[in-house]
Amino acid sequence: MKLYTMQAKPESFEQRLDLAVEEVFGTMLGVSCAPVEAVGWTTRQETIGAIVGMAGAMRGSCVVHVSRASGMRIAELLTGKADNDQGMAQDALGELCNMIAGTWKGGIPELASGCMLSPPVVIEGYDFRLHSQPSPFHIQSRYQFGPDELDVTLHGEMGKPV
Amino acid sequence: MRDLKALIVDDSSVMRKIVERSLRAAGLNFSDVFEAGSGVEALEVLRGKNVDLIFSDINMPHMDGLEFLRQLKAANLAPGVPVVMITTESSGDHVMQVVEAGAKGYIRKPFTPDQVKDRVLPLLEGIAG
Repeated sequence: MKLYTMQAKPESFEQRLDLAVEEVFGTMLGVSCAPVEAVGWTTRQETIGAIVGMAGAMRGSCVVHVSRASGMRIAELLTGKADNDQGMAQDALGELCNMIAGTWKGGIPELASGCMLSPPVVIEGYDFRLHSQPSPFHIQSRYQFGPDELDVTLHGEMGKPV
Repeated sequence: MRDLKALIVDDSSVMRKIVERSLRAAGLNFSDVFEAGSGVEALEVLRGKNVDLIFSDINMPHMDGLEFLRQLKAANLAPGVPVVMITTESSGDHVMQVVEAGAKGYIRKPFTPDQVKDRVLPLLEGIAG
């Protein structure tokens, strides 16, 4: 099958991701969020992961992964309320993932209208890992907001625009 | 100004809270803000309540925002009530699709309270008087 090719260079995708994360956090959470060096989770801890699928001009997914405590902090910053329950943290992370994926692809002309996003799916638990088929396109970046961190992974391959 | 009522349709309770919070932060004080977690639930709410403005997500499971707009129109519920779509999708094609489906406004996530105000105030002119 012939795959759709894009003018945008994959190297710029990583920069676009940094800008998308910064925009979403600055606008919706009111805090800055910047890339940091990824050195692995320091302790075994409960985490929450949100996944948004991409179809069309790019087939793949966007995954946002945080500790449970950071998920609660994200919910607090998004809603302005500190008394959120665990369900709210899951919901917040799903929305965050959706906004990061949407803002990221919106900044790449070939993907803006040619790539569609799925509703988010959220996974929680201890020490879970995501495995997927090797894909030609893979970005994994870590970001810090206040004392909290989040990992964002984008992976997939070029497809056909919808 | 008479009391204004709004309906927020989104499968995410967090996003419903964010929209309500943004309306308050923008100085748009609705006397009642109803919530629905899906297009189906929103149609049910509108069978029993009158509202002045509807905010709806597009990307929702079961019934997406565009289908909600179509069914709203087909059932002649809330005639003349402006619907503002809220979504991460922002391409020209997508905006056209939303407008063709009958939406009167469009807010791209992420958004600031001022952006919400800019989109909503013109729609309230003539209603709030």
